[in-house]
Amino acid sequence: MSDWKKKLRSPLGQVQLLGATLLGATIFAGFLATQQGWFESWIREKPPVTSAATERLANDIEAGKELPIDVADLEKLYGMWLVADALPTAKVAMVLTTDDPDWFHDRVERTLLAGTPAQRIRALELIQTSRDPELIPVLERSLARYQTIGPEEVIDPCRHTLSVVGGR
Amino acid sequence: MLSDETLQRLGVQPRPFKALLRTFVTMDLRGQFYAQATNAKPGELISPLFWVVGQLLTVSVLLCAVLQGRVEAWFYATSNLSVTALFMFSAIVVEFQEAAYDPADVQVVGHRPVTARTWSSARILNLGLYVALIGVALTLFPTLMGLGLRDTGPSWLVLYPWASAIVAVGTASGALLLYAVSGIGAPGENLRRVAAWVQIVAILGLFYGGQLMLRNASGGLELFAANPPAWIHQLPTAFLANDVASGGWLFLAAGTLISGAMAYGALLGLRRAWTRVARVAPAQSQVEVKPGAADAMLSGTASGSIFPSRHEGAIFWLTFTMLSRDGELKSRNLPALAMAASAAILGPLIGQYADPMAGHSTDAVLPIATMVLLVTAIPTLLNNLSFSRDHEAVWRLRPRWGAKAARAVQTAVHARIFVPLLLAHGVLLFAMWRDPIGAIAYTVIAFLILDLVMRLVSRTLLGSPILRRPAARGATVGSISTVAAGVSALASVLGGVWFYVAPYPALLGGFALLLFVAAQSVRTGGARP
Repeated sequence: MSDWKKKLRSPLGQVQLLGATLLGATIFAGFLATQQGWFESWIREKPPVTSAATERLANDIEAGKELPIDVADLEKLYGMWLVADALPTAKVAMVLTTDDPDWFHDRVERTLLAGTPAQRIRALELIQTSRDPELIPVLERSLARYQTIGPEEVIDPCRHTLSVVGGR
Repeated sequence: MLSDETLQRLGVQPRPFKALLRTFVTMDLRGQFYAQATNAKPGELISPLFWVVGQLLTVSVLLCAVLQGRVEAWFYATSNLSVTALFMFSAIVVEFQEAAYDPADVQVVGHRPVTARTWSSARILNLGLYVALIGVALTLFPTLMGLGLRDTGPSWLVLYPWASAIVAVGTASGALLLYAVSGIGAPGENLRRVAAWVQIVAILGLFYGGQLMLRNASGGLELFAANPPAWIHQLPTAFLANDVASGGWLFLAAGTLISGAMAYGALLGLRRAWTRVARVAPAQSQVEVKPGAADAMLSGTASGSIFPSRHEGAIFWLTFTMLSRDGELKSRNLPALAMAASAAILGPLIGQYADPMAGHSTDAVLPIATMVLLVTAIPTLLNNLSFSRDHEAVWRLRPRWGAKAARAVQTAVHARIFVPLLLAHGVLLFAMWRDPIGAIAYTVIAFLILDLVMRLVSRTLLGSPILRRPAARGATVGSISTVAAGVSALASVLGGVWFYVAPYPALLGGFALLLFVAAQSVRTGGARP
């Protein structure tokens, strides 16, 4: 039997094995602590790619057509809203904010939590168009979070949105 | 280390104290893997205690990885501290006999000139080392990974371990106080059962949390963590997390005082229990056996009509009686069954327990997942049967141990655990589905899968007689990890096949027939006498 096996079978060897494992875990934990950006990349908003059909739907809504809209359509329109700020928006925004209020509340809160700064600002613009007072607690929590951990560029838009919808 | 003068001032005999402590630590590190906790194979290098630490490190790093980047410091600290409390409580409850209180000590040390204070102090310090090891394993990752969060600073590096130490000491002391207050020994058995069920409820919560994370495509975890329900703020760990996240110290100071007082109370309670045990140890070592069951165990006559010989009948009754009465065995078995129980309770509550025979719906996955979880408990249940406080009496079983004896053990496990569970579950399914055929078909196929897997693993786990080893710390985890992984994979495959054939009666019937034939063709365990 090799020496290292004999040593590992002794009480001292077991203590050393535990110590080495904890040391390895410490190094691994230290490495993981530096990978915050990688962890955050997994939860970033990834809105669906805007398709020709979605653009057609947005244009139809903007043209005032009465269309049946389901949650999947709302997701696509919202994704388009987050990434494209040059599209016709007034009626699309109306649909997004009023068609399914519960969906709207959850969706913008998720963006305010996990979106990029640009996406969060777009979500705040959508909230401004809604002037929905039910979103005041969400905005207050988000503002407190941004003031603590950033991103800084969203603090002012969030504060402005809060004043628009009737918060402090 | 404490000096001799300090020990004497504390009323502890220095030399016996050091000798006992060294012995206890050596037993933890060496004795268990040579002959006790594992399958007693000298070639194995890894001790069960190491597997326990590895398991806790794995749980901890996975939890941190799930939370990292998704939640703020307060929720991160609350979650990790709560998991520390849960696992510390679980470790003390499940391994209490080995970690804190072993009546066998009395027979070894009781006649020597060692005071109860010396003896209990060595035991408690040994327990303290165990608690410290578990605490470190559960604290390391959140302490270091938490530093990477955007809302933590250098103070986290001090405050989180502080809070974790409070939780570890407070939880371990609380569990010990429960035992001490209830009276350690026979009256405490009921309490252990209750504590084990508390563990099940906690695992239920974890299961729900895990499900939430799996469905995280809609950001459920982030939303939940950003606006958690009010009751989470009332958890003791949440108060400590407040200080950890904000750099405060008020709750941490209060927690230190409270956990310190609890530790002192636990120490006094254990010492009193030890003194009492030392006086009544001979009486406690006697086994109380109901006359009827004893007759059956010794003669096998009660089951003579079921089993081909009295020997198998006796083994059946012995196993059945141990599963019914042995509180230690029950508390080791309950966690293994907890995940399946959690799924069976949660599924109906969240409306995802549909009949697999009705079609390929995602709502029908959970009933089959319950079955898979139940199957994965088999290695643990059979492994737990190899431990006994009266293991030295195994020579009575050893000479005639064989395939038939192993089959008798399997029958007892079916009769005492799986059949009652499946029947209760079948009633639940009938109440939910209003489809007696579906409920019966589910129950029959579930039984066939359980029987097949139990026969397959019995060659490995029932190759030697039951009740042959003393329990040792970490024994329920490490030695069966390979078998458990294989069973888990097999159960998942069978569950997948079941899910896909369930809507087609002909295929489902063929699947059931295949399971039956496969089970009958498997040569069961007990080959090694």
